[in-house]
Amino acid sequence: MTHSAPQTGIKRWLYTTNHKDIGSMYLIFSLIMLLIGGTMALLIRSELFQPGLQLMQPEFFNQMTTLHGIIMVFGAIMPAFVGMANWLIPMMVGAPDMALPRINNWSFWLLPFAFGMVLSTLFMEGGAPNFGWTFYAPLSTTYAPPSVTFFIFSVHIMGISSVMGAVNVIATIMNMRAPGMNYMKMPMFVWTWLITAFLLLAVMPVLAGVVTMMLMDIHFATSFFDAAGGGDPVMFQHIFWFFGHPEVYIMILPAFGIVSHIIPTFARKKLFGYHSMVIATSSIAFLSFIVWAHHMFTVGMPLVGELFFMYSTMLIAVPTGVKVFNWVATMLRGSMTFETPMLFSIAFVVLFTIGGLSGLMLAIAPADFQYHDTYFVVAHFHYVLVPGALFSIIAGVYFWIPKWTGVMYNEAMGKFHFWVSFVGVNLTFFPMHFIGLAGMPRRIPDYALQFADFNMVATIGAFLFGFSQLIFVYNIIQCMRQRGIPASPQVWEGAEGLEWTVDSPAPYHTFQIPPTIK
Amino acid sequence: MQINEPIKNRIETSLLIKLVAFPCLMFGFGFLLIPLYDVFCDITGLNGKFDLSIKQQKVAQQSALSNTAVSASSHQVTLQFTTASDQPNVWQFQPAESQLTVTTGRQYQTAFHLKNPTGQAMEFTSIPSISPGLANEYLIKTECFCFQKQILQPGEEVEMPLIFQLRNDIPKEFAKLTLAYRIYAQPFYEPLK
Repeated sequence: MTHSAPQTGIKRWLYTTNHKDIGSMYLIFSLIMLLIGGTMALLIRSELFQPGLQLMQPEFFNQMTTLHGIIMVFGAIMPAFVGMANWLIPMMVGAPDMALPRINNWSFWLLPFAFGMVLSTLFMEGGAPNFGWTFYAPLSTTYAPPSVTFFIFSVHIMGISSVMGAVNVIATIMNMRAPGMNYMKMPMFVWTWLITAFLLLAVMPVLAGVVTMMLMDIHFATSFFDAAGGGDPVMFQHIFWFFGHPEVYIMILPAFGIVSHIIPTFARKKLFGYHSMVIATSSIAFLSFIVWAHHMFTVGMPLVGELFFMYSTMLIAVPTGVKVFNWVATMLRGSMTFETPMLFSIAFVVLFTIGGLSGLMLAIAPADFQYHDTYFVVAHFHYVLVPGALFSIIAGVYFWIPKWTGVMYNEAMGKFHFWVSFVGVNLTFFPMHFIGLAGMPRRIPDYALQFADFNMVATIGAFLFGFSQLIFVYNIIQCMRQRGIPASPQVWEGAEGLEWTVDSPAPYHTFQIPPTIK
Repeated sequence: MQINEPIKNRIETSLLIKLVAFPCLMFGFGFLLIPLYDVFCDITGLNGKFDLSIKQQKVAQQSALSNTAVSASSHQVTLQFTTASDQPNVWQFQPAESQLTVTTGRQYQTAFHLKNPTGQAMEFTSIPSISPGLANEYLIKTECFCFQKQILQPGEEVEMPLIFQLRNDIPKEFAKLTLAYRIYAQPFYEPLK
């Protein structure tokens, strides 16, 4: 079998079927989306710097919260994980490429069009979607701006892209493992991604279904969510969260995988409790399908329903706790060093746990009536997504970028990036717990005076956090330009796994002859 | 496994078929959730599904005849009627009486007026709601226009009757009840021949 060298110029990127090229494109795309979504977050925080309307009208504010959510979830976090999956899964299981390289190319190239369409709604008459990232009907049907149709189609495209990506990941893991690499020898990142891919296959089509119902309600006179025709708006929430809750695990399981690689490397110990990690990940995935209505405790469910969803939600804390204890046990009595990826990973363990605990508070149905739709919820999900998912991505990029580019990033800049981000993220989101408990609702451009001080702190923190990402961008660009100390194949002293056995940078084609696993 | 086996041959077609079929089925499952919820609510009686509540009321009516005739345990309850609609500026929808003082166990009749002032045939559905909600089981509607679809031609007016009584065993703390009707309207299209 012969492989040609990459084509030159733009053709290389348009036509490529190489998992490393596609992985890089996914990662760069998600970085751009992170910066766009982050800019929107800073606009939101600027408006909330003090009470009153200073910078924008409420309509535009609502468009910003909606697009910020959509872009960060579907444009930044998910593609970043898919990018890492592309780069790492074939190398980790000893495969020469992804199982379906052409579909891989297509899944990526759908995304710029989907997000181009989402962003173009900003310039349409009536403005961009303004109903929040959860797009509850009838806000997103009867009362939606005309641009909602473009929004629906772009969600369809994103869904197709994710499903094809998931099919590819599963086929790669199931069919392309090197001889001897049995399931219980697979690295944690591969395991978590395998489970994530099954979640994607199960719920992205349901999301596609729910937006299709919206489309039919808007244009074809059906009444899925319209009480006038016998429909029910609450039905929307049930279907949406049937997708939405597994979706939050789609955004965190690969993060668990990344951290399970970094902590053992820098603690110079094997991962504690590999089997329990695999079982915990699977249990979390299973439980994610039976807890969806905890997002809607206030819609008027019967008591039995509230109790069922309350207890099943609390049950998720058990496998998640197993994971946290395993990471701590891995670090315990290890010979730890604190390079940038490790710093971000430790921060992940600590801050994600804070987010998990506030999640448990929200799971208590009677208390949730007080917390529902307040900044407490905003604090909770930003704690699990920013110092959770995003920190793990940043940690993973610092960890593997020497393998990807062949040069070490600037360690001093990396540490500086970490500390500014760490302070910034806590300054932004910790005060939101307090203003939420005090009763500040989410998705409002103006607020009562008693919330002013904490909002000001949060805005200062947000700018600190936002601009500190430029250090990250600088580090990435320097690595891509090959400015830095050349990295050895193993890169990190304690690193283990097939990806560390190939040269740095990883050659364009790796493992064309499958390695033998002991 | 052969070492130099081409990659293509290592991928099982049957796996790919399953991986493609599964999301297609899940897309259908999203739509299937709607009838599934209906069935689930019918069986369990959740979500105030009206078929079941009518059934329950009939049972209650037969089992507690003493509750549905004027007797020593009868007392007075104030019942208020309010209306609402999804487009309050358009639909003219009012109760004939805004408030009634009723004796429990006695049957009463009142009505609601509805006019379609638009130039288009509309299909209306009205959804009742009683507050406090726990009083629901004590209100027996003998005739009601709840949940019925009706079509009003442009400019047409209707008077919709409501025949009801309150059971004698309604606790004394429910001294004042509010019965609210909300109408939902959508354009009516003649079915295709």
